[in-house]
Amino acid sequence: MRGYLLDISPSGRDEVILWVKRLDGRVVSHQVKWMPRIYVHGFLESLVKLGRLLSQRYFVDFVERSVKPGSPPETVLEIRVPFGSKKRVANLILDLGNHQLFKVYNVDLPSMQEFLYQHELHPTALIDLSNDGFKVLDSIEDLDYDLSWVRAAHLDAKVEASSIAPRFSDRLREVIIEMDGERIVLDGAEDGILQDLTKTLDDLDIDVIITDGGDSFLLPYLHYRAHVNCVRLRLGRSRDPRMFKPSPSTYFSYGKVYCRFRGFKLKGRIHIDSSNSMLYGETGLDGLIEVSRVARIPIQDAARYTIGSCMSSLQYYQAYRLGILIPWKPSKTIYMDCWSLNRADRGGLILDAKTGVYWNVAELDFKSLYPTLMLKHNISGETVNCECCKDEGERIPELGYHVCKRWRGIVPRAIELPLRKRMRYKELIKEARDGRLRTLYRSRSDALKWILVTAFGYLGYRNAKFGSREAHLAVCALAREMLLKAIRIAEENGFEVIHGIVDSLWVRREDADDQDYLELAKKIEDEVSLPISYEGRYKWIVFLPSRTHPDRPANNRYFGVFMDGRLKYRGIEARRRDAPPIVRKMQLEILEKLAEARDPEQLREKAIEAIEIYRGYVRRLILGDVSIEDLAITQVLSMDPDDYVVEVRQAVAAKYLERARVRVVPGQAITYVIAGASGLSKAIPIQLVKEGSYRLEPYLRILERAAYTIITPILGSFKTIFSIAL
Amino acid sequence: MGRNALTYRQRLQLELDKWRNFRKALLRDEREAFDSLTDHVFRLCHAGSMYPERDTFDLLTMSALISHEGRLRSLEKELKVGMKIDERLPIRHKPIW
Repeated sequence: MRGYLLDISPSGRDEVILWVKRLDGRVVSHQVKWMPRIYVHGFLESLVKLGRLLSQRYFVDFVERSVKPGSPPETVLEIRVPFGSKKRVANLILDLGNHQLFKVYNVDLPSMQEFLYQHELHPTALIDLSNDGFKVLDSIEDLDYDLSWVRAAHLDAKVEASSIAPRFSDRLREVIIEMDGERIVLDGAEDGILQDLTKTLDDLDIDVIITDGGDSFLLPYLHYRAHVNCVRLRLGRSRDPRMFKPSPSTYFSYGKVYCRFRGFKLKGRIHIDSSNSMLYGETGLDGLIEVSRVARIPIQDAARYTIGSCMSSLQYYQAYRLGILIPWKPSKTIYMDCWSLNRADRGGLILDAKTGVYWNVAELDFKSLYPTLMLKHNISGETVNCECCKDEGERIPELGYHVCKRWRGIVPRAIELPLRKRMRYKELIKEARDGRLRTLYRSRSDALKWILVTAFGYLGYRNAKFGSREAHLAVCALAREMLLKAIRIAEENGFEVIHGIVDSLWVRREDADDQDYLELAKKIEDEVSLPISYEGRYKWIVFLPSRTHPDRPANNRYFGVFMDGRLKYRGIEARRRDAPPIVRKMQLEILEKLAEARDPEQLREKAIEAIEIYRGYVRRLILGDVSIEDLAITQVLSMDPDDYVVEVRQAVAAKYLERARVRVVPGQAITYVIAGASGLSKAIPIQLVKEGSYRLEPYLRILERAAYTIITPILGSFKTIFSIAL
Repeated sequence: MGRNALTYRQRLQLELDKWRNFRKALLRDEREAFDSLTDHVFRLCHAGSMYPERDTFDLLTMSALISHEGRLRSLEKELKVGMKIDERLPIRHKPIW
């Protein structure tokens, strides 16, 4: 019997259930006897004693595994443990060995992933089920795999809310299921709705339920209502997990605070909470499935993981396949003196932009520069400054590190597939005639991009299993070297380099056309042997100065228009999340006006016309001809509202929400409207604000600033609302 | 991995902050000259960041000299002259090392 693997879930102590959608559309479950494993390394004598002790309760075995990448296999103790008890058993073993005798491995490798690795399986795989097991018929390398069988639906509910934030005690009014553009509304008595819900999901044979806030509210709420009404609710294809109170956890990453909810995972049906899934939010279901396939992670887990965890799974798989054990605690700290840190700890090269308006500029980008360098130069935690190739290994420029010649690192092995697949998807995007196909490939390629981006960041992460600081620094050094080479080549060929950031270059020659720039790209590509993409030729581009030092450039703040009319802008208000939509609309309208210009003379004329656009917006703001949504500012709360020393607007809005008995946690995005100069009305949450109640002055300032950003580099200063009478 | 060492840009800013009192005593036109010189020094951050072992003030001075040399050269070009020192030693436009 053939079918697609929809999901897997553990069952009891030693069983895994495979949920398979047969080719005829029926979903069947298939049990496989299997248990997760952990490994212990230590002196053989102690291992034998430990094995004897543990064999009374667990199934133990002696096997050969490498404890470090590249090292020869050694005898280790394998212990099969029931689901969910890996950490408990591992801690017990460490205690038995007085935290000295034993080292434990594969402890934080999630069991379901381990199952997939061991059976060379992946979610949505086409498999052949028989009495004596199953066979995988497709591969994660495939670019065109069939997903037409996936039946996805959006689930939402309306609550008779007593305040702005619905609560568990509020009654359920209706449930809405949307599928393929059709809308099914279940209403009436509460118990009836809940009973119908289980039946409708089964009748429609839904495989994927997508919710907005399912983890944080909706699913626990529906179960609570079922409990109150004495109705048995089932959203999955088998009994749902026990109800729990949604609890947010806050974490910090790259200078930003995020908040995440514990997942409400179903059995036999996939639940994705779009507001609790970064991957789904960025790339949709197609991107999510691509990542779960490539990284071999059950879809419901992949949806809730950080990208870093998804990427780690690729490395774990490589290690697993090669018989290398994954250490529980990261390897020991490596010390570096201040002097060498100062020398080595530098990011990519930044060549300051020369501020001003430029015509006929080309942008050249290295394609996935960091991952490509990692792959090409075999950069991995264990290969940089390895012990075996001190004299003969490849040298890293500037730093003098060496790279192993004998062993191919886990990291390059892991990123090879996503890198190759992404390049192929990019080609397919270009070839595709059908718009739908193009979007599909784009989501998949974007999802893989995320994986590749984190592959580099994780190299230097302290909890990364196969990374090291030196490896991280080596990639940066190589990248600087490549950009410097590219700059030199451009100059030698008569181009002026205007700006360069890490992996992109902006070059110019007055008489150059697309052909010349393409030739330059080809030349660089040949000489540094790294793939380069020609982003396109800007009709004109403006590099903006810093606000605090007008004579210095602000890197990564620019806007321009390509020859084909496409706009590209970075770092200006229109790209910022904390700018109200009205600003985005105005800046885009102005940019579109400016894009019409064909020469410097026309650009000035268009800029003068653009002032009128700005004035139009000012007029609308003053006359109250704007919707409140257009004025909403969204900011992320970085700490508890009470911990703010300065009364910043997002904290005020958060306090407002708290008064309305809405729970606010750090990492949560708060949307508010400025309605007063001080006090609580300084920022009113969008849910509570009345139409038309906003404070004019701050919005006029925001508009003025946004208009200034775009118009002044072209025209010099101009009269704004604060200096003219309307 | 988060950054641990200061970037050259940050080191440069710290160095300039040390000159705060010096700058305060400058007269207006001198202060303007000081500020424009620092702006020029910031222009050469990409090169400064490639020599992290060097003392920041050394890099600052070298960057200032280069910016002067560059501006002299553009003046020469504008005036269509090649300046000579003592009528003997012509300024070479290619480095001699």
